[in-house]
Amino acid sequence: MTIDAKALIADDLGERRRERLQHFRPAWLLAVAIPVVGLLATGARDDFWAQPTWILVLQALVWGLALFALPALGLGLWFPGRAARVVLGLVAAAVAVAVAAGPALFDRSYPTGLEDHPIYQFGCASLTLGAGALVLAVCALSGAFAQRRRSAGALWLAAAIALIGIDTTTWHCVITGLDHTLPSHLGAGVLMLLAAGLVGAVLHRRQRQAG
Amino acid sequence: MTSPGTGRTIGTGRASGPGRGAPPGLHALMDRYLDGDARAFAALHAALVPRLTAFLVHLVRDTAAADDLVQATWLKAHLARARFQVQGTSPDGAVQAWYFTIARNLAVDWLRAQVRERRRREPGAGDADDRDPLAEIPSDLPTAEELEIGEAEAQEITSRIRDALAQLPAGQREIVELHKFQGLSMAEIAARLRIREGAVRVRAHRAYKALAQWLTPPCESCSCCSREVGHDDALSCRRRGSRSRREPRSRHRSCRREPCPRRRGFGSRREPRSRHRSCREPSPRHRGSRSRREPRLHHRSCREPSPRQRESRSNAAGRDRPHPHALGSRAILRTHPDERAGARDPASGGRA
Repeated sequence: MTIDAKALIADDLGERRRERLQHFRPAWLLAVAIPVVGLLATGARDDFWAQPTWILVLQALVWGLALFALPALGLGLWFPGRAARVVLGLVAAAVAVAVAAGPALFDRSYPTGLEDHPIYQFGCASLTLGAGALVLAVCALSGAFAQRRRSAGALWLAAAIALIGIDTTTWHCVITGLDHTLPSHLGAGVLMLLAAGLVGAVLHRRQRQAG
Repeated sequence: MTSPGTGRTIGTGRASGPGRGAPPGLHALMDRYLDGDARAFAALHAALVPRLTAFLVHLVRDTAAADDLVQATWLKAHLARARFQVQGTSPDGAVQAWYFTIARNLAVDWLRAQVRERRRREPGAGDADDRDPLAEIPSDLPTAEELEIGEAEAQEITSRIRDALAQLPAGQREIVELHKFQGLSMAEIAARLRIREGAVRVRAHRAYKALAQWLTPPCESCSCCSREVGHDDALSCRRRGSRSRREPRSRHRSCRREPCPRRRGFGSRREPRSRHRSCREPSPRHRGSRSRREPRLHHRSCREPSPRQRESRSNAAGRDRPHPHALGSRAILRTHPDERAGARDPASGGRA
């Protein structure tokens, strides 16, 4: 017998990774389409290109984390080391706070845009939670939360869902005052993270037991 | 290894095989490998292959076969990886133990196949001098049942089984060891021991019956020994076995149908043993000079003298004094004391 078990198993693992990519590609496309449709429906902010460059870079970084890095971690397509995972988590949290709060977090003299109103806070919170809920539904239906043995995979996906909600609202809302952004953008994002994490953990356990 | 209830494959924290300490980080690698990380599998493979190879070479004593078994171990583990579950204090040790258990089972299967193949090719050759590789597999390696049970409980069960086996007669114990530990069939055991297969089956039945009684969990009261058994040692009910009978034991041995197994041997007979020695055939121990086809006569005067008696009588015939043995001790006692005194004096002459 002259088989090479190591090569056979590595090939099998590669094949399973390709199958997983193929399976979740439609779900990923749908998750990308949801904030796009939401922005098209509600309209993007008028001062989008007037924002500081660094905040635009951070917003792009949040999209990259939300649509590529965190889903890859959660679905078992990317396996960085422990240090890389810790750095990634800290960076994701930091940029989420920075993007949700906006430039006013670092510059108190930054123009606030529209005057805040409770209805606007409700609207921004609803947009954050709504976009996040739709992406959460896509993940739940596609079985994304059960791809990894540990429930940490579900938490990475929950973080991605929360970031999608935050960035969608940030690209729509022109109000930059901290009185508005902290409760309705960041607060709603944290709420979305908790809700998605809870749902994801429950679905992970159920689908693992069923499997 | 496999839990019979849930079908999950369990690894304990107890490492097995050479180099008992598991390399650190095995569990983290195993987790990532189970999630699909090919690099984690490569690192796991690199960490365990040298140990597995050394372990299998030690078992099967064949480098080429050990290499094949290593490959088979990895493939089998890969197919069963979804059932892996850590149970124990050392997750790294559990991973190593899981792989070593798979390797050991494959080695045992390979050795059994070798033995069967050898017997098939050389059915008449006695293998008494051949090394039986199955017998050299260390008995302290964990089995599927031991892995399922805690280590302390497993040790207790092992010691109880060994004590029970030590209680068996040598013939029954040998059959149990050949049948259960070495996996031989009844026909193979009969061929090895050069006895009939029926005899093998009878001994095996008696041995397993005795073991079942000795290893039964302790009862509240033991009817056979009429005392309360309130302890954990089932071997205290050791009075079971040869004396355990459904019907009361008859007081008269001659009335019993079957002699106690302990009394087998020279006294083992199908028919009851006669009480009168003169009616019996002499036992093998008493064969020899006294071995006669006809029963020995009670009266010495009716018997032929033994060679020693003939010699002594011939010597006594040349003397004045009759040899005491020629007369018999009773003849001396019957004589009058005065006559006895005269008989002792050689000068007096004649017999008393």
